[in-house]
Amino acid sequence: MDISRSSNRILRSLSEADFGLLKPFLEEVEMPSRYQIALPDTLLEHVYFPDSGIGAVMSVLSDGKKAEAGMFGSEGFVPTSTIIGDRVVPYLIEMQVAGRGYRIPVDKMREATEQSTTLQVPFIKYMHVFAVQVSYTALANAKFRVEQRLARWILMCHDRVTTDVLVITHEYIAFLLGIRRPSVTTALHVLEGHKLIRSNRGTIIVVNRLGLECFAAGSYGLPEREFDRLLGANDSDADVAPPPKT
Amino acid sequence: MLFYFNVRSDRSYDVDEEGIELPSLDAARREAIKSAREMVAELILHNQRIDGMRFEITDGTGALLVTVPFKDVIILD
Repeated sequence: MDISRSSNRILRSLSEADFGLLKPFLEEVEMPSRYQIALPDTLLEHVYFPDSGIGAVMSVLSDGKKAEAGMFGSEGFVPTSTIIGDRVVPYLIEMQVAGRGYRIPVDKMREATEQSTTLQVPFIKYMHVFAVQVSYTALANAKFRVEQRLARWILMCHDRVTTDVLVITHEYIAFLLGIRRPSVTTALHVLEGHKLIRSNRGTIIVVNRLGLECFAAGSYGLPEREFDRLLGANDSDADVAPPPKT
Repeated sequence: MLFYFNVRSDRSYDVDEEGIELPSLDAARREAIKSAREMVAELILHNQRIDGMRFEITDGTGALLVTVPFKDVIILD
């Protein structure tokens, strides 16, 4: 596998030597929608590096209560605790929008981190950026209106795909945002009323990206800038699509 | 059964294009009540009018099955 053929930002940011520690054990993997990367408190086998698609890290309770804690795409890796060889997480992690990527067995990841002090650096930076994203999700949930939270969420998805068309159901949006399903209908119509999106059965089309950013106001943008500050400006390859942001 | 949770207000009629799969009309009505509570809370928080807003639940043919006014979910006494 040639590093320049992967779109994953973490893999691309590794030196040749560090990537060489992982390369023999990386395998390609298809990750369809609802593909489960991790179940709560269940032994993990692999660390995943998406090339495409969008996944959700969800906090769950045994009574079924769930909400999205964070979102990831080709800018990151999951589950993040595996960098130290940890084999369980309390989260449910699954793909929302289908994609593909690479994965490596957890113990091979741990062995590689033991052999290089520099390998871990981009991983740890990403873990920090992911924590920032989660903390701003908490702020958005506490202080912003449903339609702004939805705008923010649409922007974050849009950052992670190469199209203006998001294929996602209203039911799934309700689940991820922690709101009741009918609230999604109304919130989508507010955004449509402002001509920011078009919403049909099963799809949301981003019509006015800048308008969505204004509408989301301060709820969107800071984690993305943090990503750029710590992990950005690594790629100068012309054949890579503009890097998605956290 | 698929139930469509359309929202009518003085100014607009938001059509639910996806519907929600529920076992009965009574389950749909209960879902509407829970959703209305969530939406009323947001509206009150942002100093907006609730008067007139209601769920109009329809079936696949568009027939109106039940109406749930938002003001019915507010307990005032």
